[in-house]
Amino acid sequence: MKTIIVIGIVAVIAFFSLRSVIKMLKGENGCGCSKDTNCAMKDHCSSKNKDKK
Amino acid sequence: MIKIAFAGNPNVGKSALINSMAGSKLKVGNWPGVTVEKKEAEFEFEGKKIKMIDLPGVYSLSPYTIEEKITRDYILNENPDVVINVVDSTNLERNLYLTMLLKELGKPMIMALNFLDEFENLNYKLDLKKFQAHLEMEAIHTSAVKNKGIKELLEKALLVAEKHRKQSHIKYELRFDNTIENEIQNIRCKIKEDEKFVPVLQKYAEDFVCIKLLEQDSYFAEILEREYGIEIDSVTKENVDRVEKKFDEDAETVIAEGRYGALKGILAQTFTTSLKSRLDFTDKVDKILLNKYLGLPIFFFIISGIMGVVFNGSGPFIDWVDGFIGGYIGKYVAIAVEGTPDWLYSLVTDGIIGGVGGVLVFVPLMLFLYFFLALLEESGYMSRVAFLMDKIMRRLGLNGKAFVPMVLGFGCTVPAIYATRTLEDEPSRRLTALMAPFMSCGARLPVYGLFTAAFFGARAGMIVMSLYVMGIVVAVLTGMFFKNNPRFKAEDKALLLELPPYRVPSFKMIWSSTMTRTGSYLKKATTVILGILILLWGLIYFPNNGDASNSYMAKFGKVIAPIMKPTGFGNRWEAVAAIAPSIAAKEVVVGFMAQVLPQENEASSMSEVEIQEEPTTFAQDTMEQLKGFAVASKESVISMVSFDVASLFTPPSADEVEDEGAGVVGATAKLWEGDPLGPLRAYSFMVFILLVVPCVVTLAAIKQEFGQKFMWFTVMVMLIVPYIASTVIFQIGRLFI
Repeated sequence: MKTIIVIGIVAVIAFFSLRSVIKMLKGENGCGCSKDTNCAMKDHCSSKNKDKK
Repeated sequence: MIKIAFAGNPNVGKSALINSMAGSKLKVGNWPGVTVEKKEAEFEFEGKKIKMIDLPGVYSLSPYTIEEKITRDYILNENPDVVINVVDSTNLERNLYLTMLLKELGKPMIMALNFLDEFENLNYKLDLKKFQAHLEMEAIHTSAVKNKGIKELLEKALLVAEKHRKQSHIKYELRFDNTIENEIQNIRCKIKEDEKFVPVLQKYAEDFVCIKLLEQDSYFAEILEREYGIEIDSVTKENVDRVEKKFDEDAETVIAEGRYGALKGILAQTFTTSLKSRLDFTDKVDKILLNKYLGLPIFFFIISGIMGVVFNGSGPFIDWVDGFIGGYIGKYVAIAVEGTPDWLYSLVTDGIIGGVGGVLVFVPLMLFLYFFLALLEESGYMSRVAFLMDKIMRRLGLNGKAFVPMVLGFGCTVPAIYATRTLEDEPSRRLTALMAPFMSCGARLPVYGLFTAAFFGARAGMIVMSLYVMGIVVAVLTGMFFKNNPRFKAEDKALLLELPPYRVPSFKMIWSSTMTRTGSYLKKATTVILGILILLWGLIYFPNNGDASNSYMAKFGKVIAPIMKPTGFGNRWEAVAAIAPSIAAKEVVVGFMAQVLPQENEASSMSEVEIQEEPTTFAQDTMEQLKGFAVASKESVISMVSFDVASLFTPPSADEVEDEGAGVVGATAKLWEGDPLGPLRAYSFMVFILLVVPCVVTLAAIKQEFGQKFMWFTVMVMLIVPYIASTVIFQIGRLFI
């Protein structure tokens, strides 16, 4: 049971972190796409991120 | 949705005003060019949805630079409901020129007279009623730092937007010389009779069209020809000839002088200055800081001091975080996953906690660095750095303007690549984009932090400073190497950079900037870097169930290692293998070392050792961590106060180097344990990481701005250059050891 719970938690962590990696590789993620807008990368973000801004 | 556009000169506080109103976190700094392209922030005020658009700072709306085009196009084509013209109230004469240009666009406008606190300190006086009457717009004194006038400005802006909601254009008084006014009137009559101009006048304000025709504005002429089939020469040639004949100058200059005349007239009637000038103090300080002989030594002294304080101040906190993650979080996570299969136990303790923990250990270092970086930016010194470097760059035959994007590269290379847009000619842009990634960005700092702590003890600051300088030197050398190639041959252009006045940095601004950047680092560590480290864990754990020296990653490292041997660090596959994932994000190197080294050194997992050695309760451990934090705070203050810049330049004693502690730093120190060339190998490795291919986000930015071919060219250059640099450093260095 413990193993299943740990695998579940690790799977969730892995899913979200790997999704960030894929987004980064596809050019949809970057320092300018987040709310902080520390750098100008607007054209580079996904349309969803653009709308957020 | 009400659209409010913010327009003004560079460095007048537009982004700071938006941040105060919208609670957003747009990047601010006391130097021109912080906003390279338009940025947006949305929020609700009194039940109304508001979108604020932060336009790049410009001095004019002529179509010479990308920023000017962005600002002009936005106001003309996107029809904001109101434009807030932000002006520096302590420098009205310069700022009002743009106001005159904005008025010509015929949009609803309101003025924010920013820097109220400085205005009051200087005892300047402005007859606000008369000033507003002359400009035909409301003007409100504001101070973004002290949060004064912000609400009033927003309320007035909304009123103006509401008042002019149904008006397509507003007619402001132009105030030109009679001759110019007559010619404008003449052009007005002509275009009103011309059918071709009907759609033009629906889109643009009448005055704007007339003035642009008289100025023979090339950008507007192109639009008229392309979109409306109108040749401007056929309309205004005789008007232009008359103006040029009378004033013996080209029409554009005559009109510009007319605007200056108008604004000087307004100021003469409304504004009185005191003898005290804000620039007096700035001029005095600049005489020393920008001195021909003292400027550069002072710059290196300041940077050395900052590096020393950053490393000394953050050191005790780094040790504390190291213990907190390894001995506290690691311990309880290990207890929680005890009894699970070996691979799962290893994934959680070594892969996730060990890997990300290794990156998070350097949060205090980043926090200290970002604090001092924000301090330099806010004070106005950063612009001086670009100015100092411009002199050297031009002496070496490089475009002085290139150093502005390069200074940005100290923070992150991505905005540096976008900032090359401020350079007018394509070859200069390309050359600058090739040079900028060599500047040491913030993401490389954790790698320096790890290797300097493991091999250089208290001299970490000096070593890191040498890396920063090396980045600049290599960038300049690369520029010199390519400058004669036709694809990069830059025009010799002087740097026209407005040096902002020195300001006492606002703690609120510095803190906000520090927290935002540190927050980004934390977010990156727990998302992208965590993902990469999970993948790397798989490549380290398999196929031999945790035997890292026979893992896929080891096999890869060992294949490449012989090629890397001349660089000095090629004798350890871990160092060689770390280079490839560093292209995803530089911080990954630290996490990778944390994952791979304890296994290699058979320390088993840190947490397992802790479990056996520490039979303590959770409450005791928590108290211990709190005490540890208090001790770290005390030690940090002591080491910052007692820091001596001279100590950076004396060689470290053997005891200091050996005292590298446990955790990821201790494990890294064992990489070349007992090897007299160890520190040299570590230095060579850091040089390689400094100069090697930048992260994928930077590559994406290069591809977007310059195309795929140029991106691959950059990759090639940034593989050859670090290889040569590391080899030369190691091979020459070993002759002296």
